[in-house]
Amino acid sequence: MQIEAGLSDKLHHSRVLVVDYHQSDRTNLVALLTELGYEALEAEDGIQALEMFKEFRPWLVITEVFLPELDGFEAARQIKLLSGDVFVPVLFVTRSRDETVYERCVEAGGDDFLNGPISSMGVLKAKLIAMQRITQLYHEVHGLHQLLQREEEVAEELLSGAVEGGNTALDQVRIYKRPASTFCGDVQLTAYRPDGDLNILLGDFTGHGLTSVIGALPLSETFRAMTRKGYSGDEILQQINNKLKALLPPGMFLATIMVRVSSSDSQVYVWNCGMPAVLVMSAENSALKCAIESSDPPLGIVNNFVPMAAHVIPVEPDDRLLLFSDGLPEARNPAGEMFGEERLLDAACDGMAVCNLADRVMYAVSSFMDGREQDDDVSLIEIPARIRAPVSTVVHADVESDPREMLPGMSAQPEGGWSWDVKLQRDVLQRVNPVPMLLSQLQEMEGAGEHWQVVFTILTELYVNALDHGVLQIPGGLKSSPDGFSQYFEQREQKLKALEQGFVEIELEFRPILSGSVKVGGRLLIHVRDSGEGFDYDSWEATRCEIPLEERVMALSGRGITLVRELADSLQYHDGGRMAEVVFSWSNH
Amino acid sequence: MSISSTKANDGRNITITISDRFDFSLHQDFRESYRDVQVSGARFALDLREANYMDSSALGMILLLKDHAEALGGELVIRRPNEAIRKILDIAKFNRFVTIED
Repeated sequence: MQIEAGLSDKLHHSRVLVVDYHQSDRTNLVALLTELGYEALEAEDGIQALEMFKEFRPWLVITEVFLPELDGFEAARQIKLLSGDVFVPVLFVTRSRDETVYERCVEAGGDDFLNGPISSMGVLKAKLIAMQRITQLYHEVHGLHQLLQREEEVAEELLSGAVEGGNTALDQVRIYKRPASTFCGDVQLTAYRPDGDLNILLGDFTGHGLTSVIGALPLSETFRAMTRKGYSGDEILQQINNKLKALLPPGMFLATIMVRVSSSDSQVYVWNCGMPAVLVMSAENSALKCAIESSDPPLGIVNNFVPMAAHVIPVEPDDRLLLFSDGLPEARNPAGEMFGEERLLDAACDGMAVCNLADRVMYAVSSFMDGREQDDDVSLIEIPARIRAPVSTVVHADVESDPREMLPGMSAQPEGGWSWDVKLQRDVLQRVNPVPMLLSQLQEMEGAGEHWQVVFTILTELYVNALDHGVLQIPGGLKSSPDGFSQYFEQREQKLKALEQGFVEIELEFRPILSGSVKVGGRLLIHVRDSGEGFDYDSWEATRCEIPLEERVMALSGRGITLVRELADSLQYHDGGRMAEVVFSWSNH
Repeated sequence: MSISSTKANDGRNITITISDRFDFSLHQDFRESYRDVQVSGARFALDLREANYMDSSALGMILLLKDHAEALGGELVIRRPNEAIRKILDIAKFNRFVTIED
């Protein structure tokens, strides 16, 4: 090990410093040391001893307790100070039989003592061998410690750079982290979905230090890639579970919370896999609205993990969510008492009242701990129940033309154009969401771009409508109250499980928009057809106009279609409402 | 010593008892308490009656013991966890893959 060699280089392993006022004792000891093969240096008082030590760097100092100028105790103290990180044993020699002298020797940093004057070669030899052994051991431990520290620094850099460096929306989501050791088992991630919703993940790996970095990289990569492609929370957690199960040694796993918040919806989605409860705080009365307990085991334990349905929590825009790892309620004060859930909740309520939730909680736990060192990582994330929409730079194509000119089955496709359709039936509908796959294919074929976020939203809304209201026949009105909303999800799950027939077909037709021979944009014709009874678009639109504007904005249902209509160039229904037709065009920036 | 392990006469029923804190410091001792048991169909009972604290690394250790038991075609039962420990087991949803007896 290089570090160890570096340390030892500074010392002369054969050199011993002998400090004694009595000429005869000194000469005696030097003779013994010389015979044992050491190079003995002599000093007669404390001051001289320090000078000799600085100049010749012996590996061991043997000193009489009582010396003129500077006594042995003070000399030993100074020598230990001068040695810093390097271990230099100090051996005291004393004629005194006073017990308190021994105590003072050890207090001054002495490592052992001999009764003087030394005459026995055997005793001296034995002591020197013992000292050498301790020195060696010390160097090894020191070297290992440095190595560990260096590796932890690398791991920490990796985590803060590669893993958490990619986090986004940090102006809205407040993240606190206080690691127990240099490197922390807690991981905090954020990423936007293509529809502009934000996914937030707080994970707590078993153990601390280096072991936790093993899982952090695949965790963050899976979370980010799948969030960006628009996969559902269930799918993301399943995939993370499978990766960790395959990768982590048995006995290591990840407790985690995932939250999805949006800029427009009046509900948030929460998955809790083995973490302490998520606190949803009400802005209205600065109190706890609800606590979402763990409903799934941590990830990386079971094969074929299927999460329980996400908790769907109705929220007001100014409500806030508080996520934390168990290190927070379990933080201890100097008396060994735990911070506990009650104090945590009190601090959270106080924090809501002054609109400073996370800061208040962190302040409360810090004051409670009162300087006591942490046993575990403390992580805290504060999330607004509604985020600001991410800045999007989609520009609609300025090339005006009749969208109807693009119809399916057109004979010749222009250069660079293509069409593609997918038909999903029964069991595939039960387990696959085709939208992320379509999106990922679109990006493969046509390159990345902001406009895909919009396409994602359009496809998702149309697909969900086709599946829920068309194939599954769930009435849309159910969603009009927060209670109905959860009923809606229950019904959807049940009906999907029992599904025996039906299909959803998605057709995409792409055409580049050309300026001369240069591609300046694109246009997508989307058809989504289902096996249902058809959607009465005209009467929906008619009733919709009768509802006052504010209610329309607040309504939980019918927003999908409104959204599509706003985003797309055009929306029309054909075939008795069984087929939606959307045209969307964009210009490349 | 906060771990003890006893074997019934037939050598197939092994009870591992933990007292005080069940955490990472017991890692080595815990492993040693079952590693040498190689009887097929061995039944392990993890008695937590005297344990008063458990952390997540203990959950990991339990999973290791469970794997060991299942590799022998046997089983693992957790017995008498106190309220605090029961809560930790509940949060981690361990009742889905390990039998917990009060």
